[in-house]
Amino acid sequence: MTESAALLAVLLPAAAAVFGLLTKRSWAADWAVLGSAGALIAAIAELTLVSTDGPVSSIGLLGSAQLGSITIGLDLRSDQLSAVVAVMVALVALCVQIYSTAYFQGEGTAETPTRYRAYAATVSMFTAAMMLVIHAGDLVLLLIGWEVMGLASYLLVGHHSERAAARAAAVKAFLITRTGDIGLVLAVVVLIAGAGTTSIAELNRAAAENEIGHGTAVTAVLLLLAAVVGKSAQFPLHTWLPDAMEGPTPVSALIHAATMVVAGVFLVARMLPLFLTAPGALQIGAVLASVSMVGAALAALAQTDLKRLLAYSTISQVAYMLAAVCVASDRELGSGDPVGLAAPGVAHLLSHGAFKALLFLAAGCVVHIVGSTALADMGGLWRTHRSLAVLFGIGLLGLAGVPPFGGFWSKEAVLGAAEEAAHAGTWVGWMVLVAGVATIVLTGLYAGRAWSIVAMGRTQLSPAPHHLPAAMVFPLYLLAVPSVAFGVLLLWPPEVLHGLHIQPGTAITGALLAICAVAAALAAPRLGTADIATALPARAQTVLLDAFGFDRVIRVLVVRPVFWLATVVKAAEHDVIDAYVRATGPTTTIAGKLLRLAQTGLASAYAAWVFVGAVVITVAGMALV
Amino acid sequence: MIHLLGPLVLASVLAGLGVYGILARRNAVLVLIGAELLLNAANLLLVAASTLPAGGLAALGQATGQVQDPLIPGQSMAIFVITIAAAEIGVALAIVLLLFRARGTVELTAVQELGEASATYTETPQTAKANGQ
Repeated sequence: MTESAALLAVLLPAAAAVFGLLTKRSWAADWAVLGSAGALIAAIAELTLVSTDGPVSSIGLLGSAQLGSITIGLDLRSDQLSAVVAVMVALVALCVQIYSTAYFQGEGTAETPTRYRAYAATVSMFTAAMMLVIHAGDLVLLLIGWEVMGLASYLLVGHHSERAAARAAAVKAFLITRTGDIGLVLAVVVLIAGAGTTSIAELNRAAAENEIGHGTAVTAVLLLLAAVVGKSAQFPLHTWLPDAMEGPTPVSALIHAATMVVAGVFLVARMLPLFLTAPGALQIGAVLASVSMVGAALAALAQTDLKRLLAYSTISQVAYMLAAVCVASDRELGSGDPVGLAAPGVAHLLSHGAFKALLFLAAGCVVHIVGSTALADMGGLWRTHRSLAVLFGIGLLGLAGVPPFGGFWSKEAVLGAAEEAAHAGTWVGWMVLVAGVATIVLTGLYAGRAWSIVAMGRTQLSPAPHHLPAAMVFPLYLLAVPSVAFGVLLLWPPEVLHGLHIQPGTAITGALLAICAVAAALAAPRLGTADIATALPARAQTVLLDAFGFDRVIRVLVVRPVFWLATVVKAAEHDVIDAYVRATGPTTTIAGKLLRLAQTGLASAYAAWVFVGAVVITVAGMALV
Repeated sequence: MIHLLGPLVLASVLAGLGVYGILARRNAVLVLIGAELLLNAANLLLVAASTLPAGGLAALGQATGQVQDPLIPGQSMAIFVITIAAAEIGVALAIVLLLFRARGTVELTAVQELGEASATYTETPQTAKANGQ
């Protein structure tokens, strides 16, 4: 039963992708919605079954592949971790698919065709790939899902390929995540060479029993970390995520909430026993996460575009998850139960999935009403579309971590884990704790700012209420439920979340800080500052809007050298290799002209050449033998 | 048993005469005779070499190396060469005969149309037709 549920969760979206493309155009929406709804039902069934019957370690999917001396079992696995994440992914995917049926209504204009069928199929493929990553029992199978996600994100970010900015963003997302993906491929190679297996269960068991050599473990974990940083958009590979806002808004919801960015965190949680054997790598991960957390929150503070603001908030929130799993080795010093150690990160992954999808879909509605993503064009949502404003507010409160919304519980669980590590006396714990608390303040500020601009502010919307289709509003209500009620889950936590400890100290501090920050941002307009970002010095504003000019750093350090290298390679190709090719023509012509001189028509002369040849061969033979 | 030097010297003289005949003679028949001389020089060498014991020249002085190959390959080869030479001379004389019928001469210097350097050389059949030839 569990086996079939897990298989269906992976295969239904995949089938929806195929049939959505192959069958009648008018069925595309049905296939897409049915596929993700089926996946949601399968995932819920899987969660129920796994909770009662226990995990299943091997579910046959593609048989096994014999690669030289090792056999790679291309099997799925199912446990509570995969089941809860699968439920979240399927829920967000379903909401996105329902939402998209309304978002992509009609055929669009000649300049911007909607191309709904290809879009829906790609989203289904994206969901299937994420499901594959979640359920993979083997790193090679996980890699397949991982790569398909990379492709799907490229296609979806560049969906409006008529726009140069969308094309550039798609290529940027693809290249940057690929840079990290190289790490995953190399990690598989290192693990095959060093540990002799790629099975996740086998690797985790071997790591827990210290059977993997230290060098192999550290190398593999560092390489995996590179993949995680790339996919989860963490510093220094984070710049693709804000640019990916060029994609349609439902895609942003999917990438930010359910698939793609959380895949990295999921990988760490899944492979945590292996990661625990290399505490140094986890410390590097914690440093990168802390930098991303604070840096992205600061950048979000000054954004002038609603979607970019949310994108930076995603980087910041995903950094919370990554930091939570990266302090694991400092909490229990490697001796603890890995499921419990990963719990805070997984909890934040789940609650973030709900409120971030809600935020993006609500932002999509706002953009639909306003016709622009710039914050400057928005305002007065509270007066014109009150229910939408309430839903948007629920998302923002969840993001800010104001109790009792979902984000509060999971964020405090993360801080609790960091505090535990700090109490164990490690600098990593302190760093994550300080960064986390600072980020709570910043998050509260930018969440409050978004609210005061979008919901309050001057009424700039059309006076006649813009009607929103039901298919765009219904998913918002669906997502608002887990965003509000995530805390209820913690009353009866599933086994995978048993390791959650919410420390009263950090919880109360965090809640007070979040409330104060939100309140400060909300009060600012009444005190005469319409936008708290404008209260910052102009220079600071520019720097933050630019996200500390990191794109320029990349341009100088990576893009220009690559272009320079390309110029050199082109020159080598054109002036050296091609020169030989081009020279064959003139050389043949000259040789032909010379040989024509010998063509006299006199038979004796030809015979003379034969004799000369015979003499040459004879002399050469005698000289050489 | 004659000395090996005699046939070798004779073969060298025949070969030299043959090369001279081919290179220096202008009459096609005499050039053919040069070719025949060359072939016969080779034949003579083959027959002479077939008398050598197994191991060739190096084994000549040794008593143990006196066993001859019962298939006498050199003499067999000579028979082949004679046969091929007969066939070749038949074809070649037929060509010479046709040449004489067409041109009234068998001088090789008079038939150089196939060479670019000749005055009557033509690039293609089309240009040849255009030139009225």
